[in-house]
Amino acid sequence: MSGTKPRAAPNVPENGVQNGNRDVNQPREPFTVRDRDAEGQVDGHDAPCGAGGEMEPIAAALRDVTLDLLASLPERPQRLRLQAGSVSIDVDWRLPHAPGHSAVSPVLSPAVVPPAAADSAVPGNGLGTPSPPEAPAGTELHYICAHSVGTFYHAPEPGAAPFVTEGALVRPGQQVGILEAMKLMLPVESDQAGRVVEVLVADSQPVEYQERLIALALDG
Amino acid sequence: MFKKVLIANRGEIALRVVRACRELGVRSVVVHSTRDRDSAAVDLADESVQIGPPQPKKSYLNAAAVLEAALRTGAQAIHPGYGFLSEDPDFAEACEAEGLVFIGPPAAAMKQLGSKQSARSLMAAAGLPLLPGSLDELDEDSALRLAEHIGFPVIVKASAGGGGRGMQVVEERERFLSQYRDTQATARMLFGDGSVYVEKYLVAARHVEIQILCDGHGNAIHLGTRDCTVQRRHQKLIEEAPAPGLPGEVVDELGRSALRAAQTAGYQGAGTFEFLAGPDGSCYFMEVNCRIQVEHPVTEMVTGIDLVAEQMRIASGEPLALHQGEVALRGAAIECRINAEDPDRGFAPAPGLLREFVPAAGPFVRVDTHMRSGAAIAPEYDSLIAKLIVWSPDRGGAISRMQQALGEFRIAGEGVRTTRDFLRQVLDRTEFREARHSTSLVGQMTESQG
Repeated sequence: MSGTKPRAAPNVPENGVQNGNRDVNQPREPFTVRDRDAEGQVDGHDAPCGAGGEMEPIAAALRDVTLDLLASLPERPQRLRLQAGSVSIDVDWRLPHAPGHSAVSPVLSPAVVPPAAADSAVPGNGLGTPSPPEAPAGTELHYICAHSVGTFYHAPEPGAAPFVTEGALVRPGQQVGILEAMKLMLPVESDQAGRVVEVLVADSQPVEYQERLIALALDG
Repeated sequence: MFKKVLIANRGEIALRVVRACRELGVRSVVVHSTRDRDSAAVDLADESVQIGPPQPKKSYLNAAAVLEAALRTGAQAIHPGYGFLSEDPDFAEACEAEGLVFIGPPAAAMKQLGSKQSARSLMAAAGLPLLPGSLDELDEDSALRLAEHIGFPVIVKASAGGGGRGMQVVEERERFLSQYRDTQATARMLFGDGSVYVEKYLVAARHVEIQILCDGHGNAIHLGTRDCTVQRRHQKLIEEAPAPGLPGEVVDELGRSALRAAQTAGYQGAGTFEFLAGPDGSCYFMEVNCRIQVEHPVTEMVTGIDLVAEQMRIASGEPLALHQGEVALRGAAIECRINAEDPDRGFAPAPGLLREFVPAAGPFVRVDTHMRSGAAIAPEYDSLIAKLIVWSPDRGGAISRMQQALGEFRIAGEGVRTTRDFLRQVLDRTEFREARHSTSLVGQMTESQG
């Protein structure tokens, strides 16, 4: 297990099934391969958002590395995730019939992935199947951040319905909250189209400049 | 005393104020840009608030963000340090409007002393000597007549200028009009205000200043002089206390006049009156700095008075603990500013990553710095990386000790150049050792080198 992704193992319950909803807390996943059929198959042709032709060699390199890896593993994994940003590969096994046997989540060293593939990985390009909306661990997360120090409000006034809640679809320019700085009410707008995964700051809480307010799963 | 103070600055002065807070048992909040989130001041402070991106305009000069941070952290007062918002009367007023104490003079006093015109008339009334000249806006003919009257060389300065920018020395009558127009054009370009004024230019002048402290109960003391004659492009490189060779009665008279003027203006807190001293020892008032100054440590070293703590005591309403008669100066102190600049390229900034940073140490050696090995010198801010201060019973001893300390100071990094070796050369100059140098010393040294 490399030191870069220590949070993966504690998140794996006894049965080895990752909690898909909590997975979204993992920030900055520019490149994720996700295999949900538990067969260890990685399909490089079913990218969730238009993988450009220039990605072909990288996709091929990653596919080769992953297939080599799968061949060397002691058994078929339940889940496999590649990340190119800080280069890690997480592998989870389903261990339903091994009581007392804790989940293992080996992570290969960065050297496993060719540097070229890691360096030129582009957000949004994936080799695996697109993630379903209810389990967006494989989609790219985007954060709407505070553009000023201030107080973050969820709703236009106390008691009113919040601008957005988890699961809401937002478009660029849509207001998602209010930032109060020196009695000025500044609208917080989404700069991307996507779905609200989590509102990270409680209502009426003080925030710093660039603090993450809302996590979005980007469209596409 | 306050329970919590917010520090609206960065670098060594933010760290200096945090230390004063800790000594006084005051909780400290440091605001910072994204660039400074791992800074020494942020580390040492009790709390920190990130208020903006690296550009000063959007962070350290962003008054609304600073005030918001103060209100949400429950700070009672704001220490502005030097630079940034420290001499902005509007900011001082905004603090007051929010129920926060601005650690500095009242906005009205700052306004009056910050304007060259009103400061000049105030000083004249208080009996401070002024350089011959006029601050009035003059047409070209009257300006030329004035220059002839006071005698060349004269200096033409932008009214809105400061920090050594927007001024030209005119040596002879024939060149006056062209240089006068030139300075007007520069002033319009730099400050958006083309008004200039004419003053006598002192050849071989020294830069001398007086530190004052005024409380809110009508008490005021001065803490003697500093000499900041070693400058490049009107920015100080070496400062010392006391100013060498200035007769005691001159210091007393300047101090009394400065305090009279400060009290007339309703000044409170720490402040500095700057003078030009001619070769004959006569001193002329230049300007007032309404804040703590970079070179304040040399005064602390010879008086034993913590100026930042005094600022906070005064701002919290306490009366001064000392009378003028109890202020005793002891020995001599020198400060060298170690800047990330290349003296061989006209002191151009030379930022970069510090691979090695080992400050000097030892008896009577003080280093005020926010730097450490592995830290980056940010290109957005000023180039000061350390202030090295030494004390000795006499000036000669202080110079030797400073030589030792500069030699001990190790600073290295990719692309990093510093003023360290240049400062050592200055200390070796006979003029400096004999205190016969003038503000043109650095210019002479860099010219002779090539």
